[in-house]
Amino acid sequence: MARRFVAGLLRQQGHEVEEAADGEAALRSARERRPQLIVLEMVMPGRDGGEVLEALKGDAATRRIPVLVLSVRSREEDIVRGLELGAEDYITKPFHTQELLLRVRKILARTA
Amino acid sequence: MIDWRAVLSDFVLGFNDWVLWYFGALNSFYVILFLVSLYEVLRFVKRTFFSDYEQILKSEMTWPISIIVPAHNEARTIVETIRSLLGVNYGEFEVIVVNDGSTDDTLRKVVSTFDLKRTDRVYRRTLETSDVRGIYASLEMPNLVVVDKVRGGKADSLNAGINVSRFPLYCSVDADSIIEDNALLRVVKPFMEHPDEMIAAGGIVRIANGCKVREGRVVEIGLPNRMLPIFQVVEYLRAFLSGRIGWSTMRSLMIISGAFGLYRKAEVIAVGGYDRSSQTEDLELVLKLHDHLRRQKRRYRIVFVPDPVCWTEVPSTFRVLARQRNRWHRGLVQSLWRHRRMMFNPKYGVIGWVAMPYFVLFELFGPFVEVLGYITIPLAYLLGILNFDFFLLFLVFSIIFGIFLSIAAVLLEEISFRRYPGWQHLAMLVLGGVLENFGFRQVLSLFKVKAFWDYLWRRKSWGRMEREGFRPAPETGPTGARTGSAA
Amino acid sequence: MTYSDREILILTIAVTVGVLALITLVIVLNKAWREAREAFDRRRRAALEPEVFRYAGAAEARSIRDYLPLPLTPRDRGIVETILLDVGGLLKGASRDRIAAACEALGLTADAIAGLTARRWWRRAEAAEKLGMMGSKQAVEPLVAVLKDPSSEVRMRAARALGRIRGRTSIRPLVEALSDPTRWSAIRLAEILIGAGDEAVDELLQAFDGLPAHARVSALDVLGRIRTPRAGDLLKRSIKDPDADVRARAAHAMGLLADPGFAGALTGALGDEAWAVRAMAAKALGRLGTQAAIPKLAERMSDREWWVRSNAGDALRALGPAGREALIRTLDAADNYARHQAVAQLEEGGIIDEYVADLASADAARRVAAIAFVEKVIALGRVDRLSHQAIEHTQDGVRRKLVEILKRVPEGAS
Repeated sequence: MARRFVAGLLRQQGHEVEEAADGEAALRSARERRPQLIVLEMVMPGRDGGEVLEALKGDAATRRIPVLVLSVRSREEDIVRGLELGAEDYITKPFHTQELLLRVRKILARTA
Repeated sequence: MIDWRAVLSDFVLGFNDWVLWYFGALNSFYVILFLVSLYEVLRFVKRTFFSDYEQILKSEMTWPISIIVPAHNEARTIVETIRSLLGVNYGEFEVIVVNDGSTDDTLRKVVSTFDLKRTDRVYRRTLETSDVRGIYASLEMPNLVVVDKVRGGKADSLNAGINVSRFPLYCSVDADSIIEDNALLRVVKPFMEHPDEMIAAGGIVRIANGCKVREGRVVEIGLPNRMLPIFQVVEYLRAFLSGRIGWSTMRSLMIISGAFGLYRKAEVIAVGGYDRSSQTEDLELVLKLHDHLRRQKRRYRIVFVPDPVCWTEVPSTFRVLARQRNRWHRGLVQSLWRHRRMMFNPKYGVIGWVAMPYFVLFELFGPFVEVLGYITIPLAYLLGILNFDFFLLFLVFSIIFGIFLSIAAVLLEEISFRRYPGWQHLAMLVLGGVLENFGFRQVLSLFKVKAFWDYLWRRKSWGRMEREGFRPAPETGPTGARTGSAA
Repeated sequence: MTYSDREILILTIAVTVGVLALITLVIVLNKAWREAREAFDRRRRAALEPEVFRYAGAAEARSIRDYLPLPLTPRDRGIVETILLDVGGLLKGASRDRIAAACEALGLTADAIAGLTARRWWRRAEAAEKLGMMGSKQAVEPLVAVLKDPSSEVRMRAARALGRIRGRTSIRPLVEALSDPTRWSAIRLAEILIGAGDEAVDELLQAFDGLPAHARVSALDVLGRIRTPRAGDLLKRSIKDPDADVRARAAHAMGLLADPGFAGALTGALGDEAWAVRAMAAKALGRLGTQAAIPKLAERMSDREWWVRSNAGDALRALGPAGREALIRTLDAADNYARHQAVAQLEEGGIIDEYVADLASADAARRVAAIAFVEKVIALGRVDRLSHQAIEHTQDGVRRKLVEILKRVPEGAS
């Protein structure tokens, strides 16, 4: 549901959004479609976000795609871990919609 | 001259009358237990309409947990198990694998896969265990520790794990079981709600035969396609949903499954840890805890939480099933005898007045009564005193009642957790519930009788449990030995 | 076998079969109905969800009534409520206020408030939970009244709801509840207050001096975990509180805030008579990174209590090269416990590994230092890792040297 909401939010702003149901699908989709930005939740069944992030940064094809982590894991250690693994930015849930959109815009502008 | 025919006839007729009362009492009790469970299940479902689990996950106040995994010759699945445990959904935790003198590749595989090195971790040997040969850890992965020790059995390994653990709570997990992602969050919840009283909590064990497993996780739930495991699925539903929930509500839960239980370490240490001479160390531990806490007159809780799930494999052949049940029953007899002073002792409350007498009267002696019943029928026929009507009615009565209890358990499942989504699953469960009363249950009673006999003559058999393995692997032969205990 | 016994049996069997058939029927019907209803709900949700999402994500002030096809059927209303609550749980701040406004506009808030007085406890609990997720300020007063509900589950959910809604009026009763440990679990209250963040800080600072000791402990915990700089003065006062628990928690909170300004107070607390205070002070100093505290921390390695020694060791390890030197010097300390704690810290910090690598160094001085170091470690009985390295280390020179030393030096007591 969170995924659907965030996807809807981004689409409202005019972005083209593709959704992935879990870690495996996300990696596949990232390799095939080369998006300009990936919004990632750390807590997922199967391969968790941390593993996905590591895989993304370890693969030459996807290394340069910026990743914005949007996660319920909000402890200091979690945020540090996310950023260390290569995330461009880390937003914790619950979040402000406007803040999310702003950060997305900034990342896209920076990496355009 | 003694008239044997007359004596036997008297005996058979007396037995017939008496056995009616016995089964009447037994089944009435089952109904009461079921109703209590039904009530509690409905309450539970109502209480957890919105999940608090996210909050428990995020909270810094959530107690950290040490997960202890005793392993003996589990080379085939140990790496997958550890991987899935390391990925469990929880805040702060550590995984302690205790290698119980494995004769296969278990230790080498773990050390090499996770790049572990020997360390000199200092710990207090609070509980006596067999010699520890070494402790392995990795600086990169501080929450995985492997304890290598001389073979001592499962109880011994758990004690070693307790010695090395750092956190106030520990969770015992079988090496071949699969814990669901949110299971820890769910099983720790009562500890967060009643931090002063909670001592131990157990979750439900569900059967993995027939489920699709990938990378140490259950990705698709299904029913096995052989009848023997299906019977056990229904049996487990009955035991957990109609049984343990009820006992837990009545504050006299006597068993927490060794495959998945969360305990307060300090209390377990206070009762001396796990008993190495017990066949069923999990039952023995819980009884010891009850004993200890009641004598101290403390307010405490030992509960069953139906929510968190542990998936485990059950025997699919009669031979392995026989060994397993033999061990369980011998352990039951042993533990009940050891704690016999709790029986009818007002100091022990419900456990003393209800739970223990129930177990002795019905679980222990029930199989004898049943087997005796099956003996007296042909005996009566031979003596010419067989009342055919009675025989038929009795048989039908006990079988139909058995079916009733099985279907009732399926009902409980359907109104609460509904883990088996499809209509075909429901059909199989109902069918299984019916058919298990035509042979399976009776065979189990025979096993129990034999087990009691074995216990009396102190015969101990160490079994090797053959495992089919979860779906991905092809069906192979024996993969490992199930630890009995070294006496 | 008497006649009446048989009658009884037949009757019982008939009843049992009847009940059995009934149960099976109930199961089947229940399942069928539930599946049909869930399928229907899914369809409706798929239709309504995008609209609600659009409302939630919009920056303008249009009411939700503009987005939805009104009037809503009762079933649809329930579904919209679920969607709003789901989204509400994801958001905070202004975004969440929009959710609250939507719930009020659709009358959902009013319904939930009415539910707070329902007869059955689980309905009251559900209502409280929903109000917390809706975030509407209208619910504050009714929820405060529910804090006296006879059911503990209802009370807890009301408290949680107040914590989510925020605002001083909702936080104040929660702070007051800290003083009543019989009715309230301090841990759960603390959790709620931490979630409330800054607003809880205001209330706590104001109410602090009036709270009993155990409540002050919880209050300090909350302030520390919220990591609010505004609590600085309060913490400095509390570290001198007559109650030892309060002092310890104040030290712990200082560590969480990690403000260098606390260095003086914490260093002083290292000499406190209560070991819990010493332990927390040591831990905090490590987090602060106070170099000046190193000598005192090294002293604490010889403390009577294990926790104090351990925390002092951790702190030294966190204090850079100077702290590391202190640990190495402690290998020669008079106190046996101190020596063991030091070597444990050095191992965990990977420093033993560094010295082991130096065994084959080109620099003679480093080699000598490394040999002396390894000898000390062996004398303290820590040979497991060294033995492992003697076999596994990648450098041949290192391995040979290790083997030689291990043979030469007798292993000490661990």
